[in-house]
Amino acid sequence: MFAAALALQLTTVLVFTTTDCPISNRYAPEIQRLAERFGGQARFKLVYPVPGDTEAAIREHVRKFGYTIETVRDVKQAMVKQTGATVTPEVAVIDAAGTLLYRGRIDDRYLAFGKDRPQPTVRDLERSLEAIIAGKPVPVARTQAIGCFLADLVK
Amino acid sequence: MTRTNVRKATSSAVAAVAVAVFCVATAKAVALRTSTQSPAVTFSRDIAPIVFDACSSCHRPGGPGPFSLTNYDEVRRRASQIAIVTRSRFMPPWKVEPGVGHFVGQRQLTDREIDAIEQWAKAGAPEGDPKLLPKLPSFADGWLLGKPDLVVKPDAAYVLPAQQNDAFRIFAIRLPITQRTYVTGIEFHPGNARVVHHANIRIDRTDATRKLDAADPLPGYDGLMPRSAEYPDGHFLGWTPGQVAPLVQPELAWTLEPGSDLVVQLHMQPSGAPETVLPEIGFYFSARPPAKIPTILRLGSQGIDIPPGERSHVIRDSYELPVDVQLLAIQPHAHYRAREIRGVARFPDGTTREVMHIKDWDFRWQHVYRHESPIALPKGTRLMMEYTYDNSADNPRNPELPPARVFWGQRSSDEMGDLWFQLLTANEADRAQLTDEVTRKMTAEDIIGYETMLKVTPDDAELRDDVALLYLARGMVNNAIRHFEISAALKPESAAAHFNLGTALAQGGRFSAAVASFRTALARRPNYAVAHGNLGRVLLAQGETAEALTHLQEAVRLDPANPRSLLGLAEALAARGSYDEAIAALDRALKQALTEDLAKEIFARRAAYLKARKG
Repeated sequence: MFAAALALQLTTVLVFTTTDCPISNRYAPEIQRLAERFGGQARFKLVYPVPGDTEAAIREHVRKFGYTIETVRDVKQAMVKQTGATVTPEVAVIDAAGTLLYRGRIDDRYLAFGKDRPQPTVRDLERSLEAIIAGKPVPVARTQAIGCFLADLVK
Repeated sequence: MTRTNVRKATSSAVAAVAVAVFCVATAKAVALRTSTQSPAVTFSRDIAPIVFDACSSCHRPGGPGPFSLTNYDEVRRRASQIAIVTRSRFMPPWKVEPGVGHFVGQRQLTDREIDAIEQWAKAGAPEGDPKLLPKLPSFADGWLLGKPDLVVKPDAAYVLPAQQNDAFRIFAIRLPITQRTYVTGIEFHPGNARVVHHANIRIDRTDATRKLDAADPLPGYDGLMPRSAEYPDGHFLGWTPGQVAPLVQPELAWTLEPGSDLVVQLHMQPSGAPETVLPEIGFYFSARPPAKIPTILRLGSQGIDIPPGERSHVIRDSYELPVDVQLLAIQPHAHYRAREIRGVARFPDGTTREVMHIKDWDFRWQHVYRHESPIALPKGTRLMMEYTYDNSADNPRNPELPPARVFWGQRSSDEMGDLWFQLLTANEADRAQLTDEVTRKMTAEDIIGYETMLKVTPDDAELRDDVALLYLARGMVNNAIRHFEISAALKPESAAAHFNLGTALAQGGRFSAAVASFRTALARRPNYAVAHGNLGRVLLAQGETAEALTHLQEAVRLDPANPRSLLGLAEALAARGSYDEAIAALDRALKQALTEDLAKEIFARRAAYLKARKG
């Protein structure tokens, strides 16, 4: 029990984003909600892999969208390569040992560009974190996120 | 270079692309290496002309698109996404199937253009020779229709919170005009183009919308538009991103009465951050009254009732034109469960023509489709609509999961199914005939809509009152009585509810019951002038002349300017032989504003009493 709690404190959620991806930005309230819900148990980080997202642009982005979680630039896309993220928004959940427990969408709200559900039917990130906290395996460890393509953005 | 010219100048380049695409398709490996060789498709030569023509007018700084696509770097950053959304035909947004008609502002890419974009993205989005880049068209930022004669906006901006779901907000905007004014068009500026997704625009000649707006402490209100918020005189109003409805010819102008409100319903797609929204609307006036007024025909069903899980629920409606018309414009409307939308004209010779077809209906992309040239529909043409709904969990847009039974209603979580036609007749006699027929048809459907809503909320007394009034207008007195009875039972302390019931009972010839209802109304509001008046008139019809006179005198005392009460009083006075007093009452009535029918009746009475006095 104690060991599990200790490990959980070191669980990290990387949230890949850019300052100008509309789908990513629409998720801001949901990302912030999840960061607050799991505040004591998982460390959320907004990751900006696009070199054009400068320190100043990120400061403005965080202010405008009301983020209170920490930010990190990934201009060489080291975290992108490590986790295999392909779009924004996409999340990667990593445990204390550096193992990738979940990577993919935040939820299934978007089915395609221009096609989204009024409410998600599966909240993949939330479900994964609940499983990890309960010491259970993540139900689905990899999903496909819908959003802006990092391969185009970082070129 | 104009936008059309940009497109034309590149047609030969696109043809060359088509050849290249064919080669690449047979050898994928070649495509993957083209960026290091002489690229088959480049931005400057092949892609920029397409994007600048079809995308940049919205995707530019200040435009409604969520990001800009005005130069190589901006387009390259979205290359794969552009390839996907053009292939799926989500972008550019144009929902109607090709070949249905030639509409104003029609935006559709050709298959060749889509292929070229896809190949370019796969090839790594090469720039090519910048010298070949066409000039970006200059996009006007001000009023595209010219300087408006009047610009209005809501009193205060609305702040859309950071939330995930789409939001709706209705504003009543008072129009500062002091005399009847003729309008050739409006131009809508969303104020915050990146969150305002579309706008429904109507005119309300009553204060109904204004009251609803005032009752909400924030700017605008979230709810339904009252039925009095209508399209003006046979004209569609509304806004979709990137589209401006052109001004109509002055002979087709529509009339704006002083005291009217502009009603604007914004459909907003939140950005993720709080957003300030303050739309502006410019009006364009004409000095002359219109020579022609179009007629709006609405086909559809307000009896929609779809069981949960039903995948393919079809509604149909049709109408045969009694006169020759020109079809000017067409507007489909439905909510989230609608999947396919079809409109067909069947001509008198039996041939048919599709007038609307959307295979993948999307509530977010509603548009008024205006024909470049009107379509002639001869007398005897049958206009038909057929909409298909998916109320299963497989419809990702279904707002209810698990799916629930859904009824007709105006909230976006309810369902609707309308196909609106703007029709122009050859002359005024034809217009009068067509308008009269379609008004009766649409009122009958409106009644079905109320009855459907009452299935969901049977205790809504205001709905009962509204539908009862529609029944009365159609002469269906017993249906009106049924609803007024329930309404009076729902709000037994309301004098007006008992008055309404009494009036309907009196119209139905049920005088004793009417008298009881009027007495109940007066018990609740002793100074209720029209209740005294109506009670007096019913008592008179029953031969209770003395009591009738008392109530009619009271009615006139409370409201000396009501000509109907004065007429009733005259009748009561005449019934007891007081012809001089009766004629005096009629003379007072003649000093009031009267309808033609009432004036005729008063003159006839006056002549009869004069004759009776002599005799």
